[in-house]
Amino acid sequence: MFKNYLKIAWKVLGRNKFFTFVSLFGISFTLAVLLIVATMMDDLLNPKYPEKKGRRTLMVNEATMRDKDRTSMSRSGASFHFLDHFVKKLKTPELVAINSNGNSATAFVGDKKLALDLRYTCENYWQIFDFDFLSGKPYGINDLDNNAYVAVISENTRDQYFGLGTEAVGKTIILNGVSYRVMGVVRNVPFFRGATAADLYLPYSTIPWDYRRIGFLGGFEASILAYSRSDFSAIKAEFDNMVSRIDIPGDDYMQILEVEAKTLLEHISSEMTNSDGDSVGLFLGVLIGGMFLFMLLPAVNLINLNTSRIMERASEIGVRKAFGATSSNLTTQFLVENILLTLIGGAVGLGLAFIVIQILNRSGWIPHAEFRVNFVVFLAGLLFCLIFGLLSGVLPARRMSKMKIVNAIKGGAS
Amino acid sequence: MIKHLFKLIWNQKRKNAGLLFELFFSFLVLFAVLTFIIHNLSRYQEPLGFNYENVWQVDLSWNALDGEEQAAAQELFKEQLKNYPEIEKFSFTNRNTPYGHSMHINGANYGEKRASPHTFVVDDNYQNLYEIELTQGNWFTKADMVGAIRPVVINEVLKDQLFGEEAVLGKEFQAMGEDFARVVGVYKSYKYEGEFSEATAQMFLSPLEGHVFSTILLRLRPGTGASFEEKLLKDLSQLAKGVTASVEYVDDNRKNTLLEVWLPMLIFLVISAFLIFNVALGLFGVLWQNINVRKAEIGVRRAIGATQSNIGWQFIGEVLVLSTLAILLGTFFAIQFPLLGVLGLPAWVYLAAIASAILVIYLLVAICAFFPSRQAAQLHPAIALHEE
Repeated sequence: MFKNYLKIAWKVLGRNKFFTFVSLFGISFTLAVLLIVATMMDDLLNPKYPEKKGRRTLMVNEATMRDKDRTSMSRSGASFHFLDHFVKKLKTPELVAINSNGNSATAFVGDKKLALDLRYTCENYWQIFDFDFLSGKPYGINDLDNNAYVAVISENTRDQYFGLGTEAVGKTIILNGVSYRVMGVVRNVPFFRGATAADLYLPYSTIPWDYRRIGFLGGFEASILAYSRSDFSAIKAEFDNMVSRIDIPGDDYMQILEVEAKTLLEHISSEMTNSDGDSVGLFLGVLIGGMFLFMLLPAVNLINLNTSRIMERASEIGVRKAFGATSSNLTTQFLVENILLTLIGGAVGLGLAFIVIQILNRSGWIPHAEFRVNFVVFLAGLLFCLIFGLLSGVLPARRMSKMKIVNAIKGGAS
Repeated sequence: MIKHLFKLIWNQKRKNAGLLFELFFSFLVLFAVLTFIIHNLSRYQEPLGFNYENVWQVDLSWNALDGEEQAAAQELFKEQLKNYPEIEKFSFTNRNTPYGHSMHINGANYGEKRASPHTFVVDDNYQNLYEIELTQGNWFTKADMVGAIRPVVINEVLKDQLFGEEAVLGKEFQAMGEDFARVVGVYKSYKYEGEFSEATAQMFLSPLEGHVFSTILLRLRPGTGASFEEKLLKDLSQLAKGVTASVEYVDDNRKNTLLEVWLPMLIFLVISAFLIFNVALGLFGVLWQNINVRKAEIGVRRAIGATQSNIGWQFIGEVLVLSTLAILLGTFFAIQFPLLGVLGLPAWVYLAAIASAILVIYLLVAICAFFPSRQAAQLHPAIALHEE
């Protein structure tokens, strides 16, 4: 039975090439765009190099201070003091790493200027994040204690400063006029990795300003590694408890400290929706709603096409009805045909998306991005196809199945 | 004739409802994209008001230096910068500079009138450096500071908001909380947030005595490169220990700022172009199919004397009536934006977007209807009737 449906569907596709092309064009383009968006979202939201332990990491990257009346507020990264004295002393996490949330350094190669993004980090940073070291190794607690001027640089920085593919470990790089010895070279990190994107990494002991001053706001963030996801609630509870017990001197104007440990998804949601509270639902809702809206126009287009194509097949429907096919038989048949069409379109779309993503990766428009169409995205694509197929197939199928036998056999004038 | 077309459309109402919805939705997509594009292009047209070429921005971090040390370092820098032949002009300013993604807004009142101008604290050379065009008066100098009243240069927008048609030079208004400032000049335009930004109310305030700036702007001889930058940074850091300086090229910052608008504009355009192309192909297919089904009708009409062009126009007319309905429906929703003033854009932008969306829809529909209609018109009556 099912095999017959497929056979008929295949024949119908071949019968009118123009219609098939129009349908496939709409479907494959729509699905390609959705797949590209899905690939990017997957890269952004799922743990990827070097934040592979992202599933069991919480982050503290924003602190807010308010006055008693809550009329004025100021918000930025957290201070080193707060992270070092309070967050690092939490009992429930496996490990806590502190890093600055983005500074810049200038280096010169001949008459060329390199503007580099840098992060000052602690030694734990290299344990929480799994950087691929192309050569050398990270700095450790001894380097920090000895105030050593050492650096870990990215592959790209190495290529630009020392020359393509040159061995850099042990050599000196001059940053803002200060010499650092290169200890390691790591694979490039895409710019949108919140905690790890940078051109080079330096131990925080070499920060040239007074980063240890007392206060809560500053340019730092922390990553908290849990033993497992199930510890999140315990860590968050301990964190909130710790924050509530902090004693802010009474004569300070800003009296209220608000700071949270968040998962990556929670962080991105509040960032994208610009809201303070729990916004994961809102973010995902807007994302899915947007995709649905984007599918709507091509789907309506396909509904219209399908509806007018029914006429072409009126006599076939008439004959089948005359021999006893029920409405649900016909509806199923038509839906199967439509889903087959969307699956073919989906395959073309997947190919298109794959090509576009290759171009994106190679062009360097998105620095160091390495998007991959993976299994999750493939599943998402399959889901999009099914939704699209149902969305555009149900209405015409119902119309077709309700056609009167006499009209149908006669040629379709409803 | 029109009445007859309506009847024909009504007879096929279920099929036409789908087309109507598709055209309506396309209209809304076009309206949104065109509003965005027209709005941005119209802003791009307004004069920028300053010259960004060959300007470098040196950001200073005072780090652990205290106030007196900072003021002393600033004086040293001023003297040092005069020595370089590469530097044509320089000016000290606070951090809210062109393409710098940083803003500072202050309350200002004059009698009953209130405004919230973007406020820049800069030194006397700023106008000269950025070549800002004055329409009245002069830029402030040290001599303009009288007691606690600071000289201020305002733009036309702030002038209109506070003073309207009054003469402004020499007028005093409350510029920062309680402090008064006296207007010494009016300038035309200074869109420091970039070409795509709105012309907002603005004022340039002269600094208080002993004010320490955080940024130096340099206008360089054309062709000055990174080797000078390296030398400059080295000299500055040796002049005042503990200060870190970094250089950004205003030209580069401008490119990045513009890209933030160009890129979404391009993405919207490409995606909507594909959507519309998709709709056009679909429309073409549906119309073609419709005409195939209505061969009998064409045959009868031709047999009783309708000319080829009668038939062609009938089909085009049907589609045009249908798209007019979709456009009316879409315009009803679109017109709410200027009527309610929701997003705060000027009404003409919406109206221009509606007009161009209407044009695109009609054009699209006419092209898609032309070929199937011609095919219908050329059908031989005998063949058309034979099928029946």
